Amino acid sequence: MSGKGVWSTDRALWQRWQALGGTPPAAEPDALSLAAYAEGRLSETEAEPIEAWLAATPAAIDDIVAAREFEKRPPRVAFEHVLVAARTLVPGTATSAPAGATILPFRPRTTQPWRKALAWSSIAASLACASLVGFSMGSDAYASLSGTQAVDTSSNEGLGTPPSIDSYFSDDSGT
Amino acid sequence: MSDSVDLQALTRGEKSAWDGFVRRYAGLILSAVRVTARHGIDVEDIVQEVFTRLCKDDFRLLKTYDPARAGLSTWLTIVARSTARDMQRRRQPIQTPIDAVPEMLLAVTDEPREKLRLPDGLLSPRQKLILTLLYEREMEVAEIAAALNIDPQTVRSTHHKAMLKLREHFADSDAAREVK
Repeated sequence: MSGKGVWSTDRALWQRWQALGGTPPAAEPDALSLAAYAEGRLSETEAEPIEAWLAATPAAIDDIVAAREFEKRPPRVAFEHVLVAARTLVPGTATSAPAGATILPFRPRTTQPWRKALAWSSIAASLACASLVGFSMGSDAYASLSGTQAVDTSSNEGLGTPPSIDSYFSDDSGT
Repeated sequence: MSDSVDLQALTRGEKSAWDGFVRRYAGLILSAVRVTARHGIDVEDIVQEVFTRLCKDDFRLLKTYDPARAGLSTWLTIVARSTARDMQRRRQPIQTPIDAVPEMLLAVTDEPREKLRLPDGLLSPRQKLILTLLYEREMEVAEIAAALNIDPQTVRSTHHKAMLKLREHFADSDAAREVK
């Protein structure tokens, strides 16, 4: 059985149930109960209200999964400026905090000015190149068209004046 | 990870305890909220909001933590993600994607809507949860089993029992309607 390939009749039955309000909203449990649930510390009876809320708020199941995962492998990488901001929430003289985390250097939120300048320069250069290529292609096309017309004209000149109809009936042929 | 944090010193507002706590758990909170951060909310703003919640009103939230009931990492992850969801909810209007609405509710029909009262407790919370995860979140049995920390066979049998109940319930109600 799979979530995607499950029988359509079962799905239809579930949708019918849902349309009738089969899963009413449930009160959100406190964070400690959810944490205890994630760690599997609750009895079936204690878990019931949690599961009722999860059924009504299925996106929260990801919180349970994440909590369980982080309990096993806690992430310990943070940015220096995040720490600096959080430390200021409690007043007092800053202390040398104990080790136990990987602190990455400050990551500025705003884009540096030279990056902006570089980006705008690239755009301007691209536009200039495109204009040059376009102009050059246009010039070539004009030149080739003009050349063709010139040849045509000259060829007409080479043919001379078309003979008049009288020339066909003249006695110059000697016949 | 051992959650050896001097909670008493922390909730007394000792600066050194707070700094140590921030240094130790900032990475966890950052990772916890990173996946939920969308809709233009900066992850770092959410992290700051989590720390603010923990310490505001004289550490009221932090004082609710009981190490006998759950690990600090687990609790902080739940708090962090809950905070992220709250922030998202405040930023965006409530919208339901049309795909999430059952077709029955979208159908335009002259037939009267089914007026049935669902019996209380027909499905247990766990049965509802498993059906929701299967049909609404489109999760696989193995994923559900892992998420709920139960055996995949338990997921299958719970689904089977729930479906038997639903079939029986709707068969009865359909028969009653036909009689009328």
